[in-house]
Amino acid sequence: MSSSTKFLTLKTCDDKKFVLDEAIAVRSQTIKNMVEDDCVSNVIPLPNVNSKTMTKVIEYWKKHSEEGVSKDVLMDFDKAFVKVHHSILHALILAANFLNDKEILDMMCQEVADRIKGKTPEEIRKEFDIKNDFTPEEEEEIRKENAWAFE
Amino acid sequence: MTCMNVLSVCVIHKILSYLSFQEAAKLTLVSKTWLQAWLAHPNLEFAFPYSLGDDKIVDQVMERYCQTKTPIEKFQLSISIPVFQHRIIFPQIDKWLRVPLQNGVKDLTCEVYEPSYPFPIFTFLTTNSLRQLVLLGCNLMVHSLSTVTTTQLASSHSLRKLSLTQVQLDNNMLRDLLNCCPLIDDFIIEHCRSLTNIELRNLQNIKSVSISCYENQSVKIQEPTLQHLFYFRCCWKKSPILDIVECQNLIFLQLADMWISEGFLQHLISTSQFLENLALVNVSTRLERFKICGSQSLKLLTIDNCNGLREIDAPNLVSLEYDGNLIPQLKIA
Repeated sequence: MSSSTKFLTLKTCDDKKFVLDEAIAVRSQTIKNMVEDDCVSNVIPLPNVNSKTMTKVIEYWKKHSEEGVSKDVLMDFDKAFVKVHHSILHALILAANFLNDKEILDMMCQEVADRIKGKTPEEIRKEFDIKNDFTPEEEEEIRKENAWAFE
Repeated sequence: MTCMNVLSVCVIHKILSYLSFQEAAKLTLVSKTWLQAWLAHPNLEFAFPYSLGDDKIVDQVMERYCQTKTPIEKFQLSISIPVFQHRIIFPQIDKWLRVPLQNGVKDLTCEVYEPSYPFPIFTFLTTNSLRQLVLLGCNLMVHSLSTVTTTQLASSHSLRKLSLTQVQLDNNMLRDLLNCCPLIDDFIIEHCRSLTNIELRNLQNIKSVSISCYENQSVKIQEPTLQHLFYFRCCWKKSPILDIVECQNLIFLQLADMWISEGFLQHLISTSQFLENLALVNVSTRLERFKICGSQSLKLLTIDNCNGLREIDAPNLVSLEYDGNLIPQLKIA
């Protein structure tokens, strides 16, 4: 590593600090904009991201910044990366959205879509722990209005 | 603690974009947030063989988008119509298409074959939101430019990609059409029977062109910015009516199913100093022999079933895929 490597400190919402090579951290468009606009003091606060999620994100960033990694290795890495509990999947989507990392966001949304495919609304709720906030009457009405979708 | 209940509508739209329209519609029952997201879904896709009742669904959805003025980014309609029903259905399609037009559609695909739908092309070219237009099986001759008044005269500076497959249009129509979208970078024209002359020039940003044509069609391409050219001629009998001039920035060239003269290929190679990737599939000459030689830039070469190729001389070749009966003489550095 050259002596000119610059490090950034990221602070997550649970007060954990991550020291990271700037070249890697700028995979986040949000952080990149801050660096470019010279808004970076000592510590960059990430109020919407917890340390557990940030650890995952950094794991992804580091892997994808490594030199000489073959496409196959990266594909296997990505495949394993998205095979997580839906609460982590969800946290990663929110983090990627906040950090403005299109690559992670696209990959996670694709994974959610893959898990949705072929399932009924009830199964989808169960899969993702989503609360049904419709009254039975509302539900009936939607079902009637979009009957073609439920055939 | 965290769960999918709090995803923003914006993120849900991204998830919906990876699903079919019907699959996405099922999510309306999941929760209120997902219902809200679906109601404002910017991508609409209707693909079905037409049967009674389907039009009611489209009607209902389009009516809602019209009233709520919900932005539409992508609109795709592909239907097949039973014989004799087009009189009823065409006016409905007219009505449906007005909604994406008003709601700022960026990417529109319309696929209606036999009888082919008279697509109001110049109306769409007057908008400045459309970036991509893909037509399959439509008829452009009904709304020719002569029926449009000069004040309406279309010129789309937003359009980047135009794709026409089995579309009914004649030479004049194609010329008028291309004049109206001078900034396209990607142009695809496939199996448009009523054309005899495909001429491309003055498209100042064109990067990629793909042409599939018939034996009676002559093609002339004069585009200095062109980088990728795919050319398929669905006929073996006649000599080429393909004229490529001033395309000195070609990087990728694929020719398929055609006769060429030896001079044709040599001339192309010698004038395209950036040509890196050349693919010839079912390409032959009457003279029964031709060669590929003297290209310094050529890196990837694919030859599939090209009778008469006797010599390949490309000093900087990295990869050669060859499929054929006779092995040509190979000269590489």
